[in-house]
Amino acid sequence: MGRRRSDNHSPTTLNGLPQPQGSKICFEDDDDEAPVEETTESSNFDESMCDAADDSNRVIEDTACEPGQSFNDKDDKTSADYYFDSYSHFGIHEEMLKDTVRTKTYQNVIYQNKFLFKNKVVLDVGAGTGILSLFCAKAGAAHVYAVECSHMADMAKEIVETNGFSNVITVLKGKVEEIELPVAKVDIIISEWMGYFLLFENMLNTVLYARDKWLVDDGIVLPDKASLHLTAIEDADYKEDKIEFWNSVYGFDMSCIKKQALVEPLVDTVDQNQIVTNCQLLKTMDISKMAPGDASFTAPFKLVAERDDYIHALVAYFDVSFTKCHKLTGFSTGPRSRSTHWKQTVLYLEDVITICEGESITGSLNVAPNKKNPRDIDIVLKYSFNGRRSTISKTQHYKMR
Amino acid sequence: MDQLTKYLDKEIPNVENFEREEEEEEEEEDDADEDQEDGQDDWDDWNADEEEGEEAFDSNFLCLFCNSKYNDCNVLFNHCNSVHYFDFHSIRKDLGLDFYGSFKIINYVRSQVAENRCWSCGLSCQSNLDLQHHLHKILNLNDIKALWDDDKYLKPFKQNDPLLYSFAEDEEDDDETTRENLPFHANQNQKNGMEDCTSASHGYLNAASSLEAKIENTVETTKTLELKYDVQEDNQLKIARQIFDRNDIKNANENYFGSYGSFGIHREMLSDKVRMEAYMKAILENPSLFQNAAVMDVGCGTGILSLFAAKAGASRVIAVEASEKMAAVATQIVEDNGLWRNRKQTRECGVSSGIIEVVHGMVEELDKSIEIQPHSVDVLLSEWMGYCLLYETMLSSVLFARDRWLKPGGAILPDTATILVAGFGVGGTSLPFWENVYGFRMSCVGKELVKDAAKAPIVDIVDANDLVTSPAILHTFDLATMRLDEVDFTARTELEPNLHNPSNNSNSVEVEASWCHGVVLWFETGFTSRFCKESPAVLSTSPYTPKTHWSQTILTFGEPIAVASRKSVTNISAPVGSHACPAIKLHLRLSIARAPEHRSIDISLETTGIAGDGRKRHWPVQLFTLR
Repeated sequence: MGRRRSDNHSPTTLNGLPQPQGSKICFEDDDDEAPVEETTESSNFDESMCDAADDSNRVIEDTACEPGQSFNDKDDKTSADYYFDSYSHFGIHEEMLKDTVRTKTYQNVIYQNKFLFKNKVVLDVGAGTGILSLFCAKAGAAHVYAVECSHMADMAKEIVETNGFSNVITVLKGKVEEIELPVAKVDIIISEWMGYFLLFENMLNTVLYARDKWLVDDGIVLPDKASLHLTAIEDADYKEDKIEFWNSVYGFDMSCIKKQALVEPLVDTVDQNQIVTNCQLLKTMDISKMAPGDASFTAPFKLVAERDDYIHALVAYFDVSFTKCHKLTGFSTGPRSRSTHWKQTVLYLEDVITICEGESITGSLNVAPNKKNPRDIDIVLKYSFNGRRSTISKTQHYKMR
Repeated sequence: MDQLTKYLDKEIPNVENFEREEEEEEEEEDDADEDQEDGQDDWDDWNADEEEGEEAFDSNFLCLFCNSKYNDCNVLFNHCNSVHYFDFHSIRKDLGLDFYGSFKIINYVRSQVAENRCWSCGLSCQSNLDLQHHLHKILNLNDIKALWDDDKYLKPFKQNDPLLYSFAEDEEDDDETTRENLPFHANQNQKNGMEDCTSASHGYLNAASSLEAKIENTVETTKTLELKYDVQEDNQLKIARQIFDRNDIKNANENYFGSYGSFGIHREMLSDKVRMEAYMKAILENPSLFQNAAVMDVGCGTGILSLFAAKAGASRVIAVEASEKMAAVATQIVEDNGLWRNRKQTRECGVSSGIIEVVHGMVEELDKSIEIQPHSVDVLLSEWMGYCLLYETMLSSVLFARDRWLKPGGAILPDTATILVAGFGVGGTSLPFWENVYGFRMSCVGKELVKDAAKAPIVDIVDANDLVTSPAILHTFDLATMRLDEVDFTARTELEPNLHNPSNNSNSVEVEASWCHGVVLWFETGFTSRFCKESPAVLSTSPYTPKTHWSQTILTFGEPIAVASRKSVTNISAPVGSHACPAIKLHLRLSIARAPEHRSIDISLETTGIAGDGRKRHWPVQLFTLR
């Protein structure tokens, strides 16, 4: 799933072209104050209305967070509420379908492994246009339940009918957590749940919920493996363009905005020639076994320089695989693979590291959902480097939102 | 612009709060439920909640205009608004109708409809169906409000009309809304708020600490302001919300995210080369205009235009920003660049230090915050343009500033704004994509897309190669002379099929018809030689020039219209605009008006196709709302 990729919300891209739908309203963010207001207000309200101890805790937590928040941090609570509706937006589906790495891989997994699907009951979690369900139906599934929460469900129903699969595919409109399946168990759960940075606005928990509730004991989850990787890049030009931009805007100093810009990881395509170090595996997830909490983690890393260069940013990306296929199938969203709509996630460093071949950056990356809006992700990057030409030890906080 | 955001920000959560408060009085349990759900539930639930309240009056409400019946009068009014252009809540709000006034208009409309007469323009139709086709948007309610101001309409036109007892169900807050909207009250609120702001911005002045500290400082004070706005806006929202459907909420919300999510947007604005270069040229290359001038920058944002003005030699720049956050950012930036004008010091020593003063507040209330004489500004500078020029526009603030602060004969930059239009072909749509998706037909998505797009404009880039007509000027504003009430306009223009379209082969005698799927709007603003004598400039957002963050605005026809040049052979029996009889000209009548609810705009589009043999065909008028 594209997680609002083509939407205005998405981080601006490195190619410097404004997103077509980007809203003009430049400095209206100002009104971000409003949500702060809201938060306080609704919290107070909660407190007065309910006597649950949890609520008063929440109030304290909210207040505690506020002073530390800087100006662009304030509207977090809203995004979750509209997550579902934003998905019925057609442009997003178009972009996801046009991501051939993504869609073709699923197509191959299904068409080339018909033995997996033959006469099986399949659950498609977050079906969107229903494309995966259609693939499964065509591969011989006994029945496919396509669950979609947004308005797109109506479209999916019509698409299923138009293509003559009404007797095989049942589109169910609603949240996975709330719907009732006409069957007690399913043999296969298929889903395209991945978000930017694997975990941003993802549907993983929904897939795990469906797995625990409906999957037969020896059932299959597709995909069943996901892994997150980290590498380091030279990125002088782009960092100049995106971050240092604020140092001199048409000759004027706007560096006070720069600090904010650093906090937002940038989703963009990185050229493989920019890679300076090895790629380190941070985390592997087995979707068929993992618990929801496993998506929060701290992972150590060691990145060894493969040449003398400068490092401006660390880059995270993910791989996904379908190990139950006849031949291992999957795709990578890394800089060395064909680009996907997930691109890569660039974490800019405050300082430039001058690194010599063989020297290494060590540290750890902590990833956790934001407490207030679980669809946002807080990333804490600790790193230290002690090289011949530069040394540094730092902690940087990022927030995907 | 600031207000819109506030609106969007608050829209959802506030309404929820508000309703909670309401329900609180009646049903405490409901509240607890809602709280648990904490807004996480999807809109189905929300709607359900809302409707619950109305179910007590479970009656059959007959539409004022057609035979549709509804169980909920708000759903009915929603229907009247979307289908019959009768926006009951807006009318009540705009005219400040009290219970009896509302009572009268319902009876009046029913009486007119019974005689197949248009309630607003009085046109008599042959049948109810004709009338339904005729019904239209009202441009000026004040012109017609006398029509139902007659006590005879206090008598129910329809016996036992449940609508008459139910429209006022939400009377409590309707009453408040009415009150809040009386000019006096509204101003009062705003004034109080503004005073708070004023003290807040004085707070900035003395704070030597960091930007964040300033924001913190002001947060407290602003809360008062925001709360006042809350009350006022909530009430309006309550009404506005009832006529929103889920889609609207979604759209508004998406806009919200798009605009405010990230500082990347600010960079995008500042990186919009077309925009920046036009302003830079106008400001930096017209030294005689700016040397020693008093300049006002309305809606300064980061303050970049003020910085340019200072660089161009202005002696004093007043940068006005209604948003507190951006005012603080601009203040910091101005200070960092050594251009901050210390008002206190200036007053005490009589020596001016620095050039730019950033004022947090509305331009309408400027003299509350700073010392400024009316008609004392030499150059009024603003980047007020929104999507489709007028979306959530600050234009009225700019015109206000012009009339209040600009010297007679002073310069306004930009000084002209023109809206242009052209027809686009299938390439401007994503219809082809949905025809075949990995071997499956998904054309229903394309259909749905057109259905949506025929009501809501799409803001996106259109490739000049996808245009199937020549461009035409729709309307031009002269910002130096226009009146505030001229912001809303109706204009006619004519589009001719584009012979230079690469798909048309000029050698062939019989020119193929192309399908025109709708029209695209864009604007140009001029910094003309009237004020920019040394170096005039133009900022164009057209499909023919490098793209800007404004993109273009796409209005999609309900059905595509075939167009072709004069040479094409036409089939007399075929309808105009069909493939057999393409139109050789399209006449457009297009109105853009600010929507009553907030800073969105309504666009009406009437299209007439003219065939080679002179026959005409009118397509039903389309109404678009850009939210």
